[in-house]
Amino acid sequence: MIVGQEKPVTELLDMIKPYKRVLVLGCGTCTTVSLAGGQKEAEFMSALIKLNAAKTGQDVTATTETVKRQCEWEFLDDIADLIEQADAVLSFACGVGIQAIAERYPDKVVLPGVNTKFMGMPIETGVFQVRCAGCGNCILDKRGGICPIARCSKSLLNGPCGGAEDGKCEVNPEIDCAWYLIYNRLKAIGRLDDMKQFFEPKDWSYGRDGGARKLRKEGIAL
Amino acid sequence: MQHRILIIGNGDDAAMAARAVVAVGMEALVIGEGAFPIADDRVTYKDGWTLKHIEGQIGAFEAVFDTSDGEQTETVSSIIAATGADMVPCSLMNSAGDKAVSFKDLPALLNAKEYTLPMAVVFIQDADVDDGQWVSAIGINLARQVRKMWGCDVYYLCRFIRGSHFEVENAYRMARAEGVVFIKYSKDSLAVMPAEGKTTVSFNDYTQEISIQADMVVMSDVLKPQTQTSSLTQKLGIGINHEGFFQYDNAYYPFTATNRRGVYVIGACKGPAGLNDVSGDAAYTALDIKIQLDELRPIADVIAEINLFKCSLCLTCLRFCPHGALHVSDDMPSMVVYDMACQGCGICGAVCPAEAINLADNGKALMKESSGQKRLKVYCCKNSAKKALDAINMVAQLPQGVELAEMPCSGSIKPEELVNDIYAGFQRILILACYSDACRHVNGNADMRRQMKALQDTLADMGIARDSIVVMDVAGPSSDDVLEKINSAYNAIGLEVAL
Amino acid sequence: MTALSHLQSVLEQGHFAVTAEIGPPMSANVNLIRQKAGYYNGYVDAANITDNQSAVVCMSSIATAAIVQQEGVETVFQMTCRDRNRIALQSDILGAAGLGLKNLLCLSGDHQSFGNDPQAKNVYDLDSIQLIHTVKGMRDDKRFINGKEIKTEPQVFIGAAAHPFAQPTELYLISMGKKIAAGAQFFQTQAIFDVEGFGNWMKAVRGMGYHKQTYILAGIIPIKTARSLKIMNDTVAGIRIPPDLIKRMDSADNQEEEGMRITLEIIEAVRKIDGVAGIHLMPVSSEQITPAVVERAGLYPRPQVEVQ
Ligand code: SF4
Ligand code: SF4
Ligand code: SF4
Ligand code: SF4
Repeated sequence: MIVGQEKPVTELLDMIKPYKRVLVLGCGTCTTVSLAGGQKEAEFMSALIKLNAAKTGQDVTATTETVKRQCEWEFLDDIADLIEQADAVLSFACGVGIQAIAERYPDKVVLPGVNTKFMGMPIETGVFQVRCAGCGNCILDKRGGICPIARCSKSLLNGPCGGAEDGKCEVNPEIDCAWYLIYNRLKAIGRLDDMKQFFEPKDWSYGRDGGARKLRKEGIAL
Repeated sequence: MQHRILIIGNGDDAAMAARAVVAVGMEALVIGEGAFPIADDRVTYKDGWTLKHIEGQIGAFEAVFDTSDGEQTETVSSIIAATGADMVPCSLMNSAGDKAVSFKDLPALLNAKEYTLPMAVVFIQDADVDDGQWVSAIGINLARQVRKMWGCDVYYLCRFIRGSHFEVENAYRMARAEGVVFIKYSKDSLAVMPAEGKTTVSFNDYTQEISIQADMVVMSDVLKPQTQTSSLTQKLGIGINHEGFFQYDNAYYPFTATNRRGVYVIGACKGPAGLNDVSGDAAYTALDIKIQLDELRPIADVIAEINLFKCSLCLTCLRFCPHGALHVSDDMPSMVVYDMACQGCGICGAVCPAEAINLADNGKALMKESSGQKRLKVYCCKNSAKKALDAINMVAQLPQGVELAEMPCSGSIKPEELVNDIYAGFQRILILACYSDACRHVNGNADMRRQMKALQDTLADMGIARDSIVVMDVAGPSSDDVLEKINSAYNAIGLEVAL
Repeated sequence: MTALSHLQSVLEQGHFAVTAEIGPPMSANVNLIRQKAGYYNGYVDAANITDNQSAVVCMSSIATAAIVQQEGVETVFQMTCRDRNRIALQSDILGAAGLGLKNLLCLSGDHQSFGNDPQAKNVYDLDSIQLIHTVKGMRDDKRFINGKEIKTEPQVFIGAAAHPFAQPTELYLISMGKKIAAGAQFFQTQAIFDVEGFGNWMKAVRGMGYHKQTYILAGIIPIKTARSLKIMNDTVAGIRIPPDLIKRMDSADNQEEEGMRITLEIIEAVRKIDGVAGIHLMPVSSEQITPAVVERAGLYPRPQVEVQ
């Protein structure tokens, strides 16, 4: 899933300052599941906006709505009225959803309520961790199913640097050294030879480095 | 309808449970490893079956087992874990030499055909009151047997004899009458040293130093949780205490019931306290199960309802529900509630990011409205503060500006509700929760405190005082305490000093 | 293959090599470089020039190396994968060769979070093993990574880092093997304080036969004070200092002298280990003590070799 984190309240209050009618829009998919931008967070933010307005004597209204997915126009069309009535939309979706609104409603101000963090998963209740960096050409087959691009702090493709201690990354003892994990897993599945091979410099052009990406699903795309 | 109860374990505790289950006219399905002492056509014993996982709720649990014939599924109405515990020698055993045996190993010696008759046997019950009377129950009976069979001097050293339980008390009296000498010793004074074929046991009996030359020393054992306990807690969705035995350290679960309705724990698997009265616990449990099953009803007036169109299946509620009352639907993309398991605590509703969970009124009815200059809103947990207030009927006499709302559990509070309260003009919000080790919903208090901490941080960033939200724990029956806390929170409004 | 660098010649002719580190200035102060180079002249076979070590901005390692070489000291210029992509790396390798730099140590580089610019974006287009492979390809196959031909190839003696104390040993030995296969001709190890641990690691290295395929230079940090030792122990990733050593320093009357003695003992001990081809001193901004260490270790004067 796409994992996000609500922006600090003060930053958001500052961001909406120029606007009187704010629509706080949650997204019912990724950011709900990553506990950053579902209906709950949207309602909480609305309540805070109202409270802040009362406190500072401003005339601001905040309405709350959540759509299934902000990253598709069809879902955004359902709330065209609400969006029309607002001066600004404070979106609690990931960066994709936020931009979808901007595209669908070209004359509307759209503001990000969430910092989009990474593609990852919950590793325990309320704790999320990155798993994939969207490199566009997956190499997990040769890395024991553990991604060194996303999970090694230096994205090293051939093996560890010398900085790890007790299996933890030099950058932060809370991060597992990805190569330590890869080594253990390859060993466990009897494929340690996988990592003994030399991995050629990666073709990063499948990822962000290839420029803004676009993908056609053959057979479906018209 | 015939109720069938799954009993996990095949030791003495499980046998006790099976007998009790049969005694109230229900059937038992027992699983374990090895022999099981009960032959009864209402008891089915499955040797070698192990529990894989359970689904469902009281009245109809689907239990899946690993067996030598592959996976088997059985429907049972309730579940009793009676897996026992491991008995390991106490720490004194290390220094005691080879003349020492443990309580556990003594019966084998008593049954042996050949042995040299000892002249003096010293029993050492190395246990404190908290370790429970099971030690005494086992030890005293062993001492009596030794006295009877070997006719030798028997000394029984202990730090306490728990006399509260009838059987133990009786055995204690009989033992004394039969000539077992009981001596109370002070904990740190005891030394056990092997010396020339004998063992010297020296100690202080609170008046003087005493030393006994023993031919044999018998020492109490210590209970340790079985290794399977932690995996069983996962499978059954029940708690574990700080020592690793079954069931939370929580005032609401002192007996055999667990946080998951229909799942019970009996005997040594609960730790030493579980051994105090296993037969009584078994009888009580069987009866409780039968009464609940005969007329199966939801436990709470208001239970959680999930809006399947809103649910995003984030599993947060599943992770938080303290009663195993939620599961992913088999045929809809949504979480659903087990109506017999839900206890209406509202914790799920407070954490659901999609606001997909409803408890009617969110479970928070107003007990008293407020007006006036100074305004305090008090959230009263149904299980403590509300009870205390109801008991004295004092609500009307609280100051004008105090508004009271009840809640099913402090864990049901949503941050946005409190923000709206502050918006509505309350200067302070007081949350009266139960002490965390006495929270009926196990983690409700702790969950709420984390959420409140985060909320206070957010409010502080906005320049709103942290003590706009005050959390206090109150004990259930203590009305004075509750009144005092409400009054002090009310009086403190407008004062500089933070609460 | 023809021995082109002085360091390579020393090693190939079987001498026990001495290299030592020079940290470039955090300024454009050329005199400082010349001064440091002066300390080393005649005392080391080559001076390593670090590449923005600890992710702290310094003068570029290639520029510094060129200046050091003007002072008559051969250099090993270090290159990390943190700050440059394959375009910049290959371009700098050509540039370094053009300036007459002949030894290159390929590193992954300390993460930027250690330095003064934790906000920086890192690159890691290549990792250190790929960098080694790239240099070898440029030199031996006369090809860039993209396969395009290089008319005049750079002549470089290729080095890499080894981590005797990193766990699990097997994982790091696999990496070392990959570095050798990719083209590493010599290794400089992390600092050694635990000689016994290093001996065990060398045993494992010999077990793999790596000591026959490459030259291993044992990393030595000259010990100055008990305090600096403790700081290193607590803050530098991958450095473990035996408690006895710290105790010994603590109770010494003359810490400087005691530190020197311990350093010499460590050098003496690692010299005896089969498969160790030299030492690599890392004086951590106390370059001036290097001559004394070399001299008192009996490694002075340095061998004069014929470079082909
Ligand atoms: S807008 Fe973003 S968060 Fe929402 S569904 Fe799309 S990808 Fe997920
Ligand atoms: S290799 Fe690429 S696609 Fe695969 S997990 Fe890693 S970043 Fe994602
Ligand atoms: S109300 Fe409480 S018991 Fe019921 S489903 Fe929600 S968390 Fe579980
Ligand atoms: S917390 Fe809410 S959204 Fe998540 S699974 Fe439960 S009901 Fe569905």
